[in-house]
Amino acid sequence: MNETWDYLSQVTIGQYSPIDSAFHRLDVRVRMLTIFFLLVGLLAARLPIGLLVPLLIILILIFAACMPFRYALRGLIPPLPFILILAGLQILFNNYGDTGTVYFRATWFTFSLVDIWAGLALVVRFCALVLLLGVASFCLSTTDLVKGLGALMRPLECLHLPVRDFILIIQVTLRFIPLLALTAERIAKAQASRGADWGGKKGGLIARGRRVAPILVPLFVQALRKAEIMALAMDSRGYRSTAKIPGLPYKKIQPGEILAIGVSVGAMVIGLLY
Amino acid sequence: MKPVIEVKDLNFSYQNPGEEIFPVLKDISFEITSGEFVALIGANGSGKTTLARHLNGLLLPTSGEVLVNGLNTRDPTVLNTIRARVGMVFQFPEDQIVATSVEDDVAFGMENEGMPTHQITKRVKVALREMDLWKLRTRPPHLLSVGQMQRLALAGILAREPEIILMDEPTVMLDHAGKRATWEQIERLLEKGKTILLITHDMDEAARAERVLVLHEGKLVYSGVPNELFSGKNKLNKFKLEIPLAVQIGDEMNKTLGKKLFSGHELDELRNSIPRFKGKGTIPSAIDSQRMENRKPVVVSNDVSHTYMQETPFESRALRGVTLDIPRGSIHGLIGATGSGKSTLLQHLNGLYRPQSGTLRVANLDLNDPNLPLSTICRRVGLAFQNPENQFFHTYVGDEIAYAARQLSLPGNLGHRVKTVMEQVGMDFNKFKDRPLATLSGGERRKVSLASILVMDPEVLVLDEPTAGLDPQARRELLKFIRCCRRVDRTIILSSQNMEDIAEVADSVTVLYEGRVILRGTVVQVFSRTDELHKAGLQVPAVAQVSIWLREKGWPIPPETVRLDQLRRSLKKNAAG
Repeated sequence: MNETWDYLSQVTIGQYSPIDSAFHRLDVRVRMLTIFFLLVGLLAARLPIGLLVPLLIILILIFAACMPFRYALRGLIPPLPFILILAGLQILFNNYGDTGTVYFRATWFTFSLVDIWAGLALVVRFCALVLLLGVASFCLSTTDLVKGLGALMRPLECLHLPVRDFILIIQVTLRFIPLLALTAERIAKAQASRGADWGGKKGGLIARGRRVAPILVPLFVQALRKAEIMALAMDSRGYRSTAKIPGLPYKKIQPGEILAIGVSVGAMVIGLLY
Repeated sequence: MKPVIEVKDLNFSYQNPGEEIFPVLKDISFEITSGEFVALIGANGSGKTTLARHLNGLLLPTSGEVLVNGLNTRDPTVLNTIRARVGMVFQFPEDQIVATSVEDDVAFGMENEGMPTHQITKRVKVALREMDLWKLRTRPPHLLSVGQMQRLALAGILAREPEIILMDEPTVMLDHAGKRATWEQIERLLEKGKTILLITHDMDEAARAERVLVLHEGKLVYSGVPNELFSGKNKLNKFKLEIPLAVQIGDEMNKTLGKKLFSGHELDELRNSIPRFKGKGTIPSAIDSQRMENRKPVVVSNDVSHTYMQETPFESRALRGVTLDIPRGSIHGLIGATGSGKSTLLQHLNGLYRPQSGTLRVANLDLNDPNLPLSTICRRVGLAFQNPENQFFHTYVGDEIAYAARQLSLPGNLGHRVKTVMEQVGMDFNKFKDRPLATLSGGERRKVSLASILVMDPEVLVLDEPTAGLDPQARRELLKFIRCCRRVDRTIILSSQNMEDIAEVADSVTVLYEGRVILRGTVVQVFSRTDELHKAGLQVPAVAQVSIWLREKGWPIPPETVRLDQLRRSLKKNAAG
């Protein structure tokens, strides 16, 4: 067994890269909205044009984010088998009707030109989604995510919705991910030093359960302890659920940034229409 | 002067459903006036943190009351005002940071107060610049060092401009440079007229306060100036505390010379009291009585390097070509500032990390061999991490200790094995084997964690900061145990931020600086190289420092004096009479 122990590097949500690209320089709200509009466009599109326009813009985004193209494509490899299986199912069992050329017909499924288009569209849609999520995590850090959400949801405060609590829940959750990863790493190492078997795959469910107990018990205890201390720390720093946030200020949206939003809105509209 | 904090007949007890009432604080009354600097000391579990949490209304008394500027913490309508006036820095900084970036965390408290945005921005900037964190303002907190995290926690409190600051063992995780920075910060705050309550286990820190409060088993047993407290050794022993190092050294020297020449509760005071030497005698040349023993090495590391998170934007080099050997049967100390690579090196020794480059042999095992299983290495090289009690997962002492022996199917009777190691660490087998771990004191828990490693009977025992967070009495007992643990065939390697620990128990020392070995030798050789140690962000042990000052005043004290017994001997031999 040769465990790497670098739990922290394995849990980053996506792989954020703090570089100074054209896309990274945009205001966080603009980045989030651009990604959101493209996402809606991709999910809503039915015809090839509705899929290809957002895909083209995603490719431009990858370029603008200085994301290595091979690295972006590598993200497609893990989900590819599932995408292909789904495409196969789509080809065999869709309910578009048999309007085009029918190549093969059995009692319970048909195989026609329309089916092939449907399968292909599914592959393109999923691949474009994976690429979009890849570029999103490449350009949005957890801090960006929290700030962006806070700014975008601020208008909802007028409706007396507990926006700040919602943002704080996300913030504390994101804060706990690395905290727990580091704690788990410390515990796992300590238990491995006492002969705990990390590499073993032998035994049934109970044997495996017994193996993870040494890490789970102290991890739970420590997670609860940390949560309690954080709650106390928040209390002692005057946290009140009713408080509205003024927060740190945001920059004004620049004309170039409006253009970025405009392009993504355009892609969304095309997706919605076609 | 009007008190800013008034504690009147405070009692506090815990009660779990269906269980007996457990009193934590008993009949405590005291006052703190504006601008005062008070230290709160006491053994592990004496109730210090619980008391501090009453002072900003995080806990409410079972009976009695706490007033802050006349406002009662029981009144929920004034609680936020109280918390804005009384800032609290918790013991482990990483647990109290809420936000996902440095600047957002500093802004958190002010956002809660509903402060206008422009004011928050201004105060965040001032606090971050003051704490030297401005350049790191957008960084996620988990990528900060311990010292930086401590400064962030303090920045978050200071930005709210509280009048009173409670600090719960702020220096316990810090190295010498971090401690010094924290003290500079405390002094600046006092100059600004802030009131500070400092919880500490370090008697030298307590000696610097204007007033000391001592808690013992939940009762306030002393409230007064440090000088008076630290003049009575017996009383301190009863409270599981000890006198500050400066006083210990001064007293020993006075006793050896038979006259009262030296005094001072802090090292600087002691320095000022040193008179010019009037007797005869020349400073002996530096002959090292202690030599690196010419035994076969048990650890041979050759050019070992390690980089964390390789090929990611967060790549950091922890070890850069570490070459060292450690003789079998010795106690070897590993020292260095935080981030110097100590823990990474220790984790290489029991195979948790394998050398990315270079070669490493420990206890005749080739750690470069990828087929060598971790369990084989762990069996021969036992490693106890920092705060090892955080990793307990059994309920009872006996089971926790037996775990490794069961897991590795070690030969012999399990019960006998557990009994032997419990006796080694000074715990009675019959009394403790069925005790729930949760009921043990800090020192006892540390002993259990050591026993749970010793049960494997390792050839090499590796201890990462074994005394961190222990009260003075538990620390003394542990150091005594470490000395007893050493055998001809057992090597002990320990890291520590406390140079006194190393001077007291180690034979030889390695100094790491930014992942490199910069000094290696016997304790005496290493601790006499003051300049190099300072460059590495370390201090020399107090005795070594005092012996330097003595030499400056002409006292015939050899440079290899680093321990109290050595100082006593040299004074007797060269200066007495």
